[in-house]
Amino acid sequence: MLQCSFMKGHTHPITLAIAKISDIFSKMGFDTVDGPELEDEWHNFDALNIPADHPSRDMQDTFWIKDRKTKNKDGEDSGYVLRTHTSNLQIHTMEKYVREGKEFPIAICCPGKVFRNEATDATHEAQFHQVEMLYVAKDASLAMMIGIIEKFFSEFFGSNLTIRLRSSYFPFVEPGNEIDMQCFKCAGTGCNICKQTGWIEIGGAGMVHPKVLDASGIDSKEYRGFAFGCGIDRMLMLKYGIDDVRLLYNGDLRLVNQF
Amino acid sequence: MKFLKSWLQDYIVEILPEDAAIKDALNKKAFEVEEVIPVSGDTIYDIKVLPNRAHDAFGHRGMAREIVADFAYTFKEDLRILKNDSFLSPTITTPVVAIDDAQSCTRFMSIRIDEITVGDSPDWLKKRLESIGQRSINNIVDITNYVQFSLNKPMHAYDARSIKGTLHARFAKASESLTTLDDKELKLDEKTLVITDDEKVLGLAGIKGGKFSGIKSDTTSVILESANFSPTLIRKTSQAYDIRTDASKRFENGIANSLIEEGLHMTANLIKEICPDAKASAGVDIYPNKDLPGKVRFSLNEINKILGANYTSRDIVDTLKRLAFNIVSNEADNYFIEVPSERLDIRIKEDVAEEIGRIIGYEKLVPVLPKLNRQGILNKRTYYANKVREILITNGFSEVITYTFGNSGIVELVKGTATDKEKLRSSLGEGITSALSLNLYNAPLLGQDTIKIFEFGNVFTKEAEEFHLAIALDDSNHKTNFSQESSLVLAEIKRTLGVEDLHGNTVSAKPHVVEIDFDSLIDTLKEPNTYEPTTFSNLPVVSYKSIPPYPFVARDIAMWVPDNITWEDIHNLTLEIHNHLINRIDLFDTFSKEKEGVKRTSYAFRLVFQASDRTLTDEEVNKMMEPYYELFKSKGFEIR
Ligand SMILES: [Zn+2]
Repeated sequence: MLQCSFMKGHTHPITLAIAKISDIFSKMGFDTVDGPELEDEWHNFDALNIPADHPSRDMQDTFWIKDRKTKNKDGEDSGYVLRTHTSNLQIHTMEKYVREGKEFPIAICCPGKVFRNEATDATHEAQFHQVEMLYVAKDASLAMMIGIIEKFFSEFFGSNLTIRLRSSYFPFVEPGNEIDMQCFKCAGTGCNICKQTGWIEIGGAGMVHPKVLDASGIDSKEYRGFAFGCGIDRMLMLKYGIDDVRLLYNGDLRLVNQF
Repeated sequence: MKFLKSWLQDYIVEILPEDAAIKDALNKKAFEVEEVIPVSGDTIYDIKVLPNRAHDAFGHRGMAREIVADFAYTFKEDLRILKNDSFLSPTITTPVVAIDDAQSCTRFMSIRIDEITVGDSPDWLKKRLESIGQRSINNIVDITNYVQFSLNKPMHAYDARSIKGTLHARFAKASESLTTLDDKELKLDEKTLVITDDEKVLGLAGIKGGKFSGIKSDTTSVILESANFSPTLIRKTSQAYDIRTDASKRFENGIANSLIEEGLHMTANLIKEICPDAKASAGVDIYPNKDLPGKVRFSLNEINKILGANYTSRDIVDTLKRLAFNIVSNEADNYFIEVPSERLDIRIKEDVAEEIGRIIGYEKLVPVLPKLNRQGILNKRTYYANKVREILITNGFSEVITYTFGNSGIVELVKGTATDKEKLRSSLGEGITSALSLNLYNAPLLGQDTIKIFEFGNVFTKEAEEFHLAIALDDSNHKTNFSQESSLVLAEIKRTLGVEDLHGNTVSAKPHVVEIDFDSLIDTLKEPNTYEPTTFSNLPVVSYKSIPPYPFVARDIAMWVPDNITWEDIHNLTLEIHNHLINRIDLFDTFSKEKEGVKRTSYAFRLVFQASDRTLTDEEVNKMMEPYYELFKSKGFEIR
């Protein structure tokens, strides 16, 4: 019961998770990149093939910035938002590679804070963390994407996990997939974490839509890409059984000091 | 969206398998089956249709085609979609139809049917509609609904008596209004597409009909509308009037113009089936710009490269057949195909790759890893921030993350989650200061007297987004001056990074809060070019304990004990008293004194109580303290 007064401080679990994620990806040859949280419509939506009237752009889901406008590449009025996903870094990175003439493949992971305008409760926060993975090369394939994602989750959760792909739809990928991960707790036999199914819904992924490559200045006839994204908060909550996401953001050492 | 097994079965030659098999196949290959509801001799499936498949799979026929592809079954068309002239009567006048704008209304067909009798629907029709949650209204309305849920084609039937002149798809005039079936009066504007006759507005095109032109119990002649509208226009109008219907949901996702004629014929044929005396006019069809069939070129090699597979020509041809994709030509594995008209989602080779991948099964793909032969490196901010984290943590600082939005700041949101959360922070000061007070309040629970925290995060000024670091220190009595401790740790940061200027400013002296413009601090430092793991790159093994939402109560004890009694002895004694509500026992002060030649030691320590299910009362805790006092007294300790 006695907890001796300590000398060392504690690292926030989000930082621990991000450091681990960067470490896993570094070993696979992927750089870690970061980028703006306040983003223009082009990088957050347009370049990702999300049409102007897509429901995710609604006021209910997105934090829009007041009195700030610019022109997009087509010369139209364009606003600013708090990024709704880390996918904006797909675009920034691809643009950078093209601008600087950097050598392909692009292999990056981008952990970072993202924002959704939604009511908060124990499992929903208006700010949370995501990690995005992007690979663009001549040899990109869905099978390679599966290999990387399996390696990623296996390393993070500390046991050999397989994933399964289900068909899904995101405008910036084609094919698009929902990713289920084999339950790390019961190894697929069924437990309360996986609601007895043996599988946990964990993220979205797919082959980068040719329109997204083209929008970033990459020739989609020559290159292919794949991308994957998932919630860091959710991974932490699953791994450690944290029952309230809000505890990650109110500066409470009762949580932090446990790590 | 609800689907009835027997209704799907109508479109499939083979007998459908058990529900579990259907659920499993759909889940893996197409859509999530959210619920399987057995009903007498049948099953209802609640299926989450993906938005890009709303064009086809919002109807039973489309969903049946999906099942056919998933199981390699045989599709069976409902022949009632075909034109049937057997009840055509040349004496009935064909309705007159007009379209103003071919972009907003892409096709408009109509027909008039006389000598019908409005009444209850036959049992089979009632049962099918009710099973998917639709109320049966009368035979004519039910038939139009049945067609909608079969083909994914919303239909509308007017009482012919209420139509004067031309059925017209046009934009409303500002002065016009419409009373809907549910007695709502809508003021229309010039951006709203409506269906009118020569005298009045009949309905919001593609969304909802008006009150005065609907089917009544004495209706004997109907005019059918089968039309298609611009998805964007329907979405905007439906939002503007806040009216969402089964019809608007379908039109706003877009449907193929081939459905317009199939829907019209099927409705007419069903009316004839249920009202055997019915006689129909010739149909009218306004279709200015015909849909081009969806055609895609791809090669076997391209599909295999996208998927990372080794499929053969045979695999491709078989799968295309299952999907009813028509191979126009195939020369040396270079395919040119035409997709079914409803599949508006299939236009490029990546779309075809997805179809082939999911139908053959993604589980067949063999995972591989890229061979990059290098280590990834960290971005500059994270690389240097991690170095500083290591210093701070070694010096007893713990990391917090607080909210980006709050009550003060320069950059504002149009709308936040609450009115006091509509500004983006321009400094970390406010967030870290409130984290400091929260933790000072909890200090007894944390077993700490001094709270030392730091935060890294982005802040927003008028022009820029900057990455900042803040450190904050305070103690429970707010007595200690932390400026020296702070200076020491900041000096260590400067020394380790090799920078001259900290780019910091003191946000507050008491509590001690310093904020650093970290981007400026590391500005002159070089980009990292190798990867170095941090001291915290491995996730710790932690058995996390939930944080009770109820307050804690702390009680301090100070007592004199003989010199040979250690803190460990006292601690063990304390544990002899069984109390599961005790959360912490912390020693906070100790000193020894000689009195009349006897050396004694004073121990001051804190007991912290907390329940996970209720707030403890003072009285309750006072009672809990009694056994401790008695125990210590019985050992001859002197409570101070
Ligand atoms: Zn499990």
